Amino acid sequence: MWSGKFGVVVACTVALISGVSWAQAKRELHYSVTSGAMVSIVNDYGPISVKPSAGNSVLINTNARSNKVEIDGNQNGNRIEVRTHYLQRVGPEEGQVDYEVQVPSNANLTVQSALGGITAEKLMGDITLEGDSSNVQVRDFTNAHLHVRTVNGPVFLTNVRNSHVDINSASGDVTLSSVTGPKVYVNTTKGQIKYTGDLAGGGDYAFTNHSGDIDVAIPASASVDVNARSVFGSVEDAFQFRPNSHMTFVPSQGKSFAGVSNSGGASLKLHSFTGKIKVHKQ
Amino acid sequence: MNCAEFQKVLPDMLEGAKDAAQEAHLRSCPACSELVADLNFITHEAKRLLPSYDPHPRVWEGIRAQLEREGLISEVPVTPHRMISFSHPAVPWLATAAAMLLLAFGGFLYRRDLVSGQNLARVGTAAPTLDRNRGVLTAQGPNSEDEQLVRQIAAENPSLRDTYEDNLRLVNAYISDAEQSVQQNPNDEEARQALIRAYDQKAMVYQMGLSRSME
Repeated sequence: MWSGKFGVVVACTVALISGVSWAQAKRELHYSVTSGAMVSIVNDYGPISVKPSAGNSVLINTNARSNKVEIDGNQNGNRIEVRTHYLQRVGPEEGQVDYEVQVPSNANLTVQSALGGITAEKLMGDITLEGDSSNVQVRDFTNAHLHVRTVNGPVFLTNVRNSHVDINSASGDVTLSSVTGPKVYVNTTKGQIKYTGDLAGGGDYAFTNHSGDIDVAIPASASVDVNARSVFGSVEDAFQFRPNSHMTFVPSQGKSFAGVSNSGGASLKLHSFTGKIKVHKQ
Repeated sequence: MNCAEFQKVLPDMLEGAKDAAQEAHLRSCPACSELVADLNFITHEAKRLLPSYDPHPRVWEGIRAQLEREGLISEVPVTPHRMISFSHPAVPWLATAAAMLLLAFGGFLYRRDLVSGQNLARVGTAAPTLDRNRGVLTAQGPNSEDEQLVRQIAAENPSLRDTYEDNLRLVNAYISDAEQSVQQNPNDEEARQALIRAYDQKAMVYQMGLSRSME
């Protein structure tokens, strides 16, 4: 009899403690901002997902995996900073906090992570995404200023239109699909660079690296003025461009080429030291 | 006033002396305007990072010697803080990249000495990127600064140690190849640009590593 009651009490206590712990692990932060707000998120471990919010609000849902971390949120005027604060030394598992962030689509955003994946979509402000080993994925940006930096994390951009794009990664692969803008720059050391799209808008595109391959697939209708060189690697013009009449260097068979398609609206510069550069039709 | 004339007086202008012609050029020229904005940003960030740190003249000497060695500038008699000739359009950007790299190194050493309790004044004479045997900035590696950075990062976050170690080795190889390319083709604009990009990569790795170890 008594043992039965005792069991119920213990079960209820455990359930209560678990409920309290769960409530502490999840946190929702809500801020009101005006146009052009600056939002900064710093979280080393755990995924960070950013989407547009309705109106001028910033909503941040966090889910911590242990009680060894806490979330610090601070608003100063139109500037918001939210970061994971580690109460003691933790590893990636104990330190993991999942972030779901909603910001006004025109907000300026900075996200910093170490290992957690970063996903951002449908934004149009000045966006900086930094992750040491983070997998960075960007989708459906328009008229944005996008800066991505990783040490070895891969970077994926899909459907980024009319945006200023600047990507730097030491050894992460960079994959661009339907990315256009006045300036689209990718610089890696070892990472491969892959571009698929039409280079629309007559922008300035530069893809450069030290040792990774560079692969560019464009439609036959693309209007581009291309210049490709690989110092110790190789180049392949599988697109079969028209010879360029104003080359700034003497092309070397298999090492460099320059050419034009249609009116040469966009500038495409490809440079590698040991990588293989290939430009071909989609 | 054209861009070349403007860039000749740029060092004075950054120190506060600005006349009407310079202001007019700045308003009309996006390239120079962007350059000044970048340099002001670097100055601002440098003050924020290192309020009491002024690089030792040997650091500037090292930058000048390195740029000369790369064939990016010609030797000109100048004062220590005005050693970089802005006659070539690529030079300001290389200087910017080199400055950022130096700031990163300086910030790292500053932090390291704070942690170890060593005298801050010694940081100024450390000339972290100076190869004393050759009297030039060295980009070959790994070097002791790289190793220090890796140790600092590992102390903060052991899971990132291998990442930074491997990638510093990669960017050093990038710089090494880019340097050789410039030496072999000193008049090749693309080779110079590649060297700038290689330095950019190393600066980026240092900045990311430093921001992590300073959290």
